[in-house]
Amino acid sequence: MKKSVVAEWRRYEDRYRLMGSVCLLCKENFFPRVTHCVRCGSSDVRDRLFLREGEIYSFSKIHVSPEQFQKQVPYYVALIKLDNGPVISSQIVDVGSEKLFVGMRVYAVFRKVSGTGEQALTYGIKFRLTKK
Amino acid sequence: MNVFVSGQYMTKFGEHFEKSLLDLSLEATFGALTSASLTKDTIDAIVVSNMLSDTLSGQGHLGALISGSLGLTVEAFRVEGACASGGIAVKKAVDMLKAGTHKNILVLGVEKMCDHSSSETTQALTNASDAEKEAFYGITFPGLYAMMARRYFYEYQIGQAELAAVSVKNHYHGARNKKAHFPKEISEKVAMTSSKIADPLRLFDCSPISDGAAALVLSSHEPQSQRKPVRIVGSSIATDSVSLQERKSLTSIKAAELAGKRAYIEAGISSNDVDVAEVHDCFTIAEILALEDLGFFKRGTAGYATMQKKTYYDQEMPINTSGGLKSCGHPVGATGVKQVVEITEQLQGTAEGRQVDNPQYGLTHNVGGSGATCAVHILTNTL
Ligand SMILES: [Zn+2]
Repeated sequence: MKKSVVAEWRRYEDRYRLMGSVCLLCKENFFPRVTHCVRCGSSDVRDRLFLREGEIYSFSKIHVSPEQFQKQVPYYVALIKLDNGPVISSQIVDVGSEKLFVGMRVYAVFRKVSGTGEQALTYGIKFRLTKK
Repeated sequence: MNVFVSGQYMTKFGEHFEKSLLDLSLEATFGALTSASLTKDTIDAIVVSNMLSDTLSGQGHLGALISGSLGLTVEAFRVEGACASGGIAVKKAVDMLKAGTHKNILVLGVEKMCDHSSSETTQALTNASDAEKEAFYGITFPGLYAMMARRYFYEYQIGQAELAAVSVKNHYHGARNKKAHFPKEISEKVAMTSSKIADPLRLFDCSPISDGAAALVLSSHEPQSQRKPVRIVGSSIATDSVSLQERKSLTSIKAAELAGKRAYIEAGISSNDVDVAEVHDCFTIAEILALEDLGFFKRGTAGYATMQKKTYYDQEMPINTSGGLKSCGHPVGATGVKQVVEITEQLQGTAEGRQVDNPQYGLTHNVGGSGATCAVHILTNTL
């Protein structure tokens, strides 16, 4: 589907800065930002900037991708548990020959996510393996 | 209020380049009507299940499309819940019959996927995941199930051999079903050396892209036909977050557990009473999760049970006698309806070549997305 520039613009803050929400009533964290708490129903939620470090909760190496990611194949996708935040979905980049495992430490970096040629470019947070 | 399966039919699943969405729909519809010994004029409502017709065929408004093509003017509409669309359609028809407003409802599941390149179809299927949280980052559908598999490997120490055993078993069953998309047996070696799709999932861990349709006539009165009457005695849908990142666990599907529990309660049975089941094996790991979510095996043991061949049609817990999504094929909107077709045939004793020994209760488990929707149905031939 063609990307809508407006729809991408709405998520700039979340995607560029790792900005999520915290529920002031029950303390649940969310990413991306929400307008009310999914857990307790409260609309008393505030923006919260999450720390840029965490660990791999699960991962996969994608060998067959949708069209707009074909230049990146193969690439790693992962669920990452942020140190002071929720589990979020992203990619792991610059892996080289290292073997990934559950629990591995990672940190956030800013990267292009998708888009080539005539498609709109999108950017966001991806993760790199933390050096020991 | 009883709900009977009066008639059932499925087209062959596979590549139907010569047939349109409507051709497949009408073949299944008239097949089910013939099986029910009913004429089209006895149908008083139509529920259509389909996921991708807008995206792939440029066609929406399927309720009226089918009704009009049959020369009918009855209430007709389409439901969509990704790969669980079929199970949802069955449940909606059951609800309408129980409400007493209708007597004979046509439930039609149809999907036309092979007219397009696999990358276009794969892209369309990605709509079932969370567009902003998952698809945005290039996380494919197999990628989501791959992350569930990876986490399951981590928590329960199984590996690719257990996954391959699911695929080998489903192909063994599919080889006995002439309607199956890939009706041939495969070896463990073929499964474990097939090309990588989303590590740890390989090609033979993934259900194929198929064309096909399946139809049921559900009725509020006992059918005329000579076959054993089959009733739907449990019907339930549950939902959970669309994205994986918001789930409490990746090694069980909460919607499936809940839908299963509610359906067992409605039917007045437990998982021990189920003699045969069609479960949603869109990926091999999904069948392992299903067997545990539905209570057939304890957490962490379904892979081992599959390796021990316990889920073959002539063993203690027959699973996916049709060949499942893996071997029978997965025309998305048709799958949940097809599962009910297969269980009905098992309960009527007409599943030639793969017939389970005298089953009394059968179950269908139909999952949408990576587990956000699950529809469970329980059928019986007991009175
Ligand atoms: Zn809250």
